[in-house]
Amino acid sequence: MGPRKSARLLVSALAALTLLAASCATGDDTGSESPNEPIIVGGTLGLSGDYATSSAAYKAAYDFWVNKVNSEGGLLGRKVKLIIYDDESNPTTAQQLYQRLINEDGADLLLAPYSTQVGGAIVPITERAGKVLWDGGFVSQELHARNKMIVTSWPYQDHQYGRPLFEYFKTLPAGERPKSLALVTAQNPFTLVVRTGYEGKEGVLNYAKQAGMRVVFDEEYDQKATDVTGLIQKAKATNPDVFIALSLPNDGALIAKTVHQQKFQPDFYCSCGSQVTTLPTWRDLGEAGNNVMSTTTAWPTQDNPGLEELAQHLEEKLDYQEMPAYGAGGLAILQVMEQAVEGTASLDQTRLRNYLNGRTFDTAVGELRYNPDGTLAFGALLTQFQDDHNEIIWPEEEATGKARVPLR
Amino acid sequence: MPRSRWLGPAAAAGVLLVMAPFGYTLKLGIVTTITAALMLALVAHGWNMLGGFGGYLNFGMAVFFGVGVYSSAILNERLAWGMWQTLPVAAGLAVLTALPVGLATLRLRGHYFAIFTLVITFLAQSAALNLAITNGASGVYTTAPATGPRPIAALFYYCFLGFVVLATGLAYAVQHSNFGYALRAIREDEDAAAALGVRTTAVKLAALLLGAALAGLAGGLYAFQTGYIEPTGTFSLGLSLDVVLVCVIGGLGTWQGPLLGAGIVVLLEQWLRTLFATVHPFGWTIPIESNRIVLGLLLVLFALYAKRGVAGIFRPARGSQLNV
Repeated sequence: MGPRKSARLLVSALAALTLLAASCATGDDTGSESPNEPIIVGGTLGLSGDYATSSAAYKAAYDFWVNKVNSEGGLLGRKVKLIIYDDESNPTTAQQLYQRLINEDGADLLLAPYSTQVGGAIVPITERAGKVLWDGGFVSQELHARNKMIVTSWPYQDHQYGRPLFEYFKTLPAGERPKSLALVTAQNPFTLVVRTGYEGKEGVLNYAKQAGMRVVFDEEYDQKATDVTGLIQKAKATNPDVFIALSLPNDGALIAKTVHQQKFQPDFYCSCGSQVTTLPTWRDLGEAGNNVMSTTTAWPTQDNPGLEELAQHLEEKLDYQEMPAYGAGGLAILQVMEQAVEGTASLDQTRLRNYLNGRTFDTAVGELRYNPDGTLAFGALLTQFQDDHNEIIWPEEEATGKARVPLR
Repeated sequence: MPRSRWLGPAAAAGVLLVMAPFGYTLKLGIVTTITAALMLALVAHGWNMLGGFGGYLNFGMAVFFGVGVYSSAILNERLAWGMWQTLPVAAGLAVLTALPVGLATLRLRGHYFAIFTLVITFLAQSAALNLAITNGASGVYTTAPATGPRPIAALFYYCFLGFVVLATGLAYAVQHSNFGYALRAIREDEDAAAALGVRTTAVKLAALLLGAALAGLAGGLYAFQTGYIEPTGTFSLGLSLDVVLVCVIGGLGTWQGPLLGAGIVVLLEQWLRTLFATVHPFGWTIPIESNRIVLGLLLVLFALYAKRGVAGIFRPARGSQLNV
């Protein structure tokens, strides 16, 4: 390119940049303050990609809440505007979108994305911006320990995901308790902690050790694997009493199908990673999904605030036959956020975060009392998918049915 | 020197002068968007060395970028090194990674090289998922090199701007040097270039290493900018494809191409992603992945009707073009 043509290009760029500087040279977007402007609640979900099924349940719960709040006059007398972007289940995309939510959209309140993998990626961004992350979307004891502004609605963190199953085993007569365990774990930040625990505490391997159970098989697998036949055949060959798959929704369903195809029949089978059995897609597995155990946070029989209405909404609008754990968790964090905003009469992030300490909140997953690190006291339900629905089988006081053992 | 000789550098200096205060005067959202474009431009400059000037389609830039990301992040987490200390190591390790790749593959031509670079991206991702030093799927956290949203955004804006200026100067020098002419000769006819005395493998290797250093540098900065890294996002094929898209749209084998292309691709991607979330024609929800379709269509259009990219609009008769 000759100097004249180079110069022409550069002068064009110069003119464009000057225009940009003139049009955008204003202060930072720190959220809307005018009483006439809506309060912006923003976040991302994996509405496409690997986490689309779980994210759909969150989106439905968020829509339910925002319609309800706006019909009742809004928050602090202002309407609420919900902005949920699709992060494509990709951590890097989510990082870009949270930058946008904070810096361009001026989101007043930030909701977390689904999954620890995506959530972990955006936490440094929200922390650096001094924003509370209202988190119904992921669990991570480590992230809570490292960061100050995460507030969860999950009453069990990643290292505690196996606990309901092992607590259930304790309720069995000594002679009927399982003695051997085969374990497969997705290569994902969340499931790896479910397996090993946090700082040497809890985690499936530690629970098994405490229960005197032999771990006869323990392998990781690629979460995006499309064929796990070899993995399941190897697990089957060890003939365990218990088979635990620490998976996310898509790979969890693939493993259940393969277990069924390979006629692998342990006494107990728990998909103890993501809460898959309450997802509407689980019933599509037919016999392969039957008698598989998993966990959840709340069940409509518990009469928690808003839970029954949400269940009806999900059934009417999306034909969900059961309450997905993600729907309950999504609604619960919005209820906590709503109570904190009304309690402080403010959108100031530090005041909102401090307001939570030591307080209890009535939510769809029950009464939540916050620890200083933004986590909650342990509480969970063990489910088993029986024919076409889930039964709560632990704790006994919440049980809706008896466990079916063995698996087939 | 004729007066016209001064016009280019003067206009370039003017552009820099206008951009100088942006880190503190523009809205944060605009600053982070420009920073994203600058990062992509830096990696694209790296790709353009061999891909643009030399005509070798390389789908492995995410590997060199990722090595830079992980080098910086691990040094920061394990040894508490600061950002500036880690950057030379990030660039150096990216070069060391590129060296065996280049030695093994640059005797291959055409599709074979492209396929090999595609495969190493998946290999790198698999290695990062399984190695203890990378902390597997759990990823690595880095410390913030500044405090507060504005200082952090401004710091990375100026860092990327500075490196892009250096990379642009380097690309300009390559384009007008014997090294650049040798690369162009390879692109036009490698056998003829070799017959004329061009040491083709050495020239291609040098271009690959130069590009890897720029990608590693960008990765090193990105590790601190983002605060958390993990294998799937870091070694994403999407980055490798975006870099090719940037150079095709901006103009292959030109020093301006990566700058123009990065601006267009980043703005278009962000605009489409948010547009599709808010627009519902006839009540129909547009799938968010549609932004990739639009960018793919753009690539086809440029391949068919604007083979010299946007930079070619200002240079209709000379330079490299995309052949499909």
